[in-house]
Amino acid sequence: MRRVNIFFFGLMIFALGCEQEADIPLPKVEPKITVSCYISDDTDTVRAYLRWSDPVFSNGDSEGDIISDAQVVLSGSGFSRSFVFNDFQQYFELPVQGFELTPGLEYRLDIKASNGSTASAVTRIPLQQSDIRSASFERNAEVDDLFNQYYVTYRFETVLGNLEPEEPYYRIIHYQKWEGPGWYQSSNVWHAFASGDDEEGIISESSFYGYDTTLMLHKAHIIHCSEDYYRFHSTMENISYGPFAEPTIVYSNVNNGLGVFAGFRQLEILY
Amino acid sequence: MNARLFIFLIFLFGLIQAKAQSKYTISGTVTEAGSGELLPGVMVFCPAQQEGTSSNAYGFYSLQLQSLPAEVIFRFLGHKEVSVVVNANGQRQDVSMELAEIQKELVIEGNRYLNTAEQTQMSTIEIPVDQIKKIPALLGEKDVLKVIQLLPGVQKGSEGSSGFYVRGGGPDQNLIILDDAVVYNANHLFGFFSTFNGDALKSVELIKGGFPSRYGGRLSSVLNMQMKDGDKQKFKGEAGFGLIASRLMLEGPIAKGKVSYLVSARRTYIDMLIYPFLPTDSKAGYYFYDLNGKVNWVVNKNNRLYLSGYTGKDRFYYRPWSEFGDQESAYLQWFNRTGTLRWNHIYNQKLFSNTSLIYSKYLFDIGSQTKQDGVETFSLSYGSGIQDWTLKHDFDYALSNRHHIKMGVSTIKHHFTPSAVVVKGDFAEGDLSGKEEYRSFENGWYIEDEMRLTDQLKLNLGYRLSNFVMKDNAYWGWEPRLNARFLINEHWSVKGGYSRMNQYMHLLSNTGIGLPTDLWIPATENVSPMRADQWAIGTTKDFAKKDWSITLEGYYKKMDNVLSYKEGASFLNTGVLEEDSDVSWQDNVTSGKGESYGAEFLLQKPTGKLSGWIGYTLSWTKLQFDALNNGLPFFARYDRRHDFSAVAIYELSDNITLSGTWVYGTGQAITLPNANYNVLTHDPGSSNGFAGGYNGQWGMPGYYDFGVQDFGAKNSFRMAAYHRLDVALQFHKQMERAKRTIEVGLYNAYNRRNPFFYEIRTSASGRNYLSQISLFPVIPSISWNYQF
Repeated sequence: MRRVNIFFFGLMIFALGCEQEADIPLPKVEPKITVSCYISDDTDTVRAYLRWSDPVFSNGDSEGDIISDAQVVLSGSGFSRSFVFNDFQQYFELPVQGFELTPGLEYRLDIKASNGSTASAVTRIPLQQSDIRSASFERNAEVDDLFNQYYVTYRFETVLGNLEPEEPYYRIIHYQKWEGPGWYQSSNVWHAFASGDDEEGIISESSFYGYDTTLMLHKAHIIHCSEDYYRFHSTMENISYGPFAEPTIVYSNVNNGLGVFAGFRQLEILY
Repeated sequence: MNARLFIFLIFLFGLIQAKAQSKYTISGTVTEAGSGELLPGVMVFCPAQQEGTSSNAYGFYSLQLQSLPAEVIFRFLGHKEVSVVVNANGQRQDVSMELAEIQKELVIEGNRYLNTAEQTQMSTIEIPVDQIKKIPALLGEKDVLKVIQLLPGVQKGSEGSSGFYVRGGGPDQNLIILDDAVVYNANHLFGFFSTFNGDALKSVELIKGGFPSRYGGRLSSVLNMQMKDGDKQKFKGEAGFGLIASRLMLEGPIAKGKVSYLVSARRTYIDMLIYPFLPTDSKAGYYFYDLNGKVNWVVNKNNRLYLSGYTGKDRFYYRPWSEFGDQESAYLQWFNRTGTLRWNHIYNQKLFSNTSLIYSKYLFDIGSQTKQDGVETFSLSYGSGIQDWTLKHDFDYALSNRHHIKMGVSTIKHHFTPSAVVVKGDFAEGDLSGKEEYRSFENGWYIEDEMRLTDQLKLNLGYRLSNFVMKDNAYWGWEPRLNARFLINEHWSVKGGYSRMNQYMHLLSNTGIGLPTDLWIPATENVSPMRADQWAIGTTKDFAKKDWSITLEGYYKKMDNVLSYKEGASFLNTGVLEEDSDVSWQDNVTSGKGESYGAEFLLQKPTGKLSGWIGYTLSWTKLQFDALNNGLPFFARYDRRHDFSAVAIYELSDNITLSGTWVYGTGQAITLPNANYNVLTHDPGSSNGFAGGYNGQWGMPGYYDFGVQDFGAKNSFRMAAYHRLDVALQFHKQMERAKRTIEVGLYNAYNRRNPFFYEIRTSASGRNYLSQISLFPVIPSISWNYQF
């Protein structure tokens, strides 16, 4: 009898405290134009990847659809050009012909969708190329304490200049191809972000930690980027899907829309 | 005028005043008749000469008189007034005050028992412990922190949580002290109950602003609790039996009139309740317990020694059934321990000192173990915690009735362990362990002067110098404090206050509701200490004949170097085992600033047939971090525009007490996704294009397609408002050897489904909807209490 009483008491508590659909007004969100467009002085064709955002509490009619029937215009100092939609690749493109993408200048992207929605963004291609003062790496092999495995660490150090009077926003992307024990081959990519005003230069340190491998290829892209590029990618890098992870508010410089229109200049280093 | 010169002139003015009044002095301690408990805050005054003072936290007072003989009156809430005629200079006058029977003797026409208007200290609320015991509580478990949450200017975290937020500050910004010892995690069962057992408490005081300089180390509040000293004359006790826990408190003399003790214990039996429903081969459960103890020794009339301690622990454990020979078990536990050795010494009629040696420890620990045929083959434990040793020395000097000086020094040795991992098993290298730890010293020097410049104008002016040293890194903090009170008439005053506070430790929290998984971490070279400046102004009116008071206050608080996890980070991201790990908690945090402002209203009636209070807060709390929310300001999670609470205790008869609380609060600010979208990141070195891989086609080479959630702005969505009614009925009966109280209560009486958290779910038709998870429905409770 005692068990029955306790059981019913517990049941009463947990049956009444429960889950239900929230009875509160939800934010009314319309699908927004989502932009992915990057420009650089060495770009031969500017590509704009446009999608509709998919509101979480909608009826699901947008579904992240591709935008194919919009007017997309790139304008800069003394020119204005419209993009053409590439049906096969599903993005808009604009060959760089008859105009130039000049470092140090601002460019504007305007989008007008067939339903009347508009979005726009402005970015700037950095004036200077990355100022790479030194780039080096070292390899260390060690036995991992936890699993008694033979591990290797590659540590890369890149010293970068301040690029005054421009903002020193850098992104360094390392690419590796390596061959592991047996047949296993893989590649690895990781990012480092650097900014600052240290007169001695900006030091970017990053390391790769993995199984003992034979390094087949290592290269790095050193990107001097606009603030838009830097903030977008650094917030993208923060996204985590862990159960306790803080939500990431991804940066966007698109007025009335989402995504990024970003300028950059890049150099490639082969180690 | 230079501020320092201004302060110097005020001091000088006070000193001249002090010098100008040649005096006769009486001093002594004030205790409660019978139990011998020291009484802090007793008004001591000579009506004929218009001179007065009050007893300090240890019951000591010193009063100077202009002529003799003189009648001196002692007055304290809940006690009968005492009148003494003083004939000789230098007279030592120890006073015992008898308890008043609340309804029959306390409310005396014309007597003024409330002196809220008279006090210089603002933004301070004292809660009678007896009142706490009458306020309805979840499952009948009386809880100090839940009562604190009912006060204006204090918000609670979430349903059931004991964490509290004062004037826009986080739960780590509250200095919670029990007999001078800091309690770092005051929660049981993830915050549903607090660690403080009301049976062992003598006084509870909350300071929200205008902090006296004797307090430091936290930005937003001081919750100061004193344990009872233990009855020096006779053995007494109190026992309680509830649905989930029972408790017992015993006190009495060891040597009558000289040495007393107090022991108080509480334990849940949730583990025993669920035990019958588990498979016979499995073991799982949860319990918590509290144990308080205190010994008080009156060495002689000028010296007292106290030794008090607290230990409390929560433990979840699980040992599943196993088909094979190996046994697995797992646990999660956390505990607090404090200990205080205190020496009160009266040097002379004017000078009193308190010296304390204090120990405090908090540890969170989670682990698992595997045994094969009874022999341990693998174990893993992860822990985080903090341990303090504190030495402090305080002086209390009554220079004159117009000039009361407090000063002191303290040093705390902190030992932070944000994370520690021990792995034992059959490893080639033997047992493995990794520990991140920091040792530091936090020092403080203070002086404050409670000065009465005129009969209307009183000031409490103070300075605190604080210092935090860790390895080669040192921080210094100058902390000016000022409280001013202008008495418009005997019952009505206007008050203002300013305080600067520095906090040299942070609590890293993903949830913000004070879970044991939160990490205490020190200020380091890269992580600066927090700092707050708070201004407050208000007015207080005592309605003496009605025994109630009204307080209205406005405040503005500015906070710097507030710490938060970066976007995407959590306490699970911190690396421990790798010594050179580039994933440290310091990489996961970012600092910013905040501001909070608002107005608070409190109508308080502490005694009488009907007692309780009504509180209302209108407030805004905003934060700004360069690395969060794209650098734009956002509302703090615990920003609450409206917060209302009503507490009523009504003595229906000598034997029946009816009590109820009703609370209402604007919903918490949370972050919800607005939309999903796809966007390309730049991936210039990749040989294949992954982006735009739509319908199986290769897309833009050099870019990578990501699915992302658009959250709009951080904390831009409001949860549903919170409101709840609790009621309780207490039936008292005087039995032959004990007074019995049976309490029946209803928590959440009208079964309001308050949101605990939200989740996005998809219906069978494919529609997304917001699902609300509620925690506590209406919960009845019954408990038995015996006082003997």
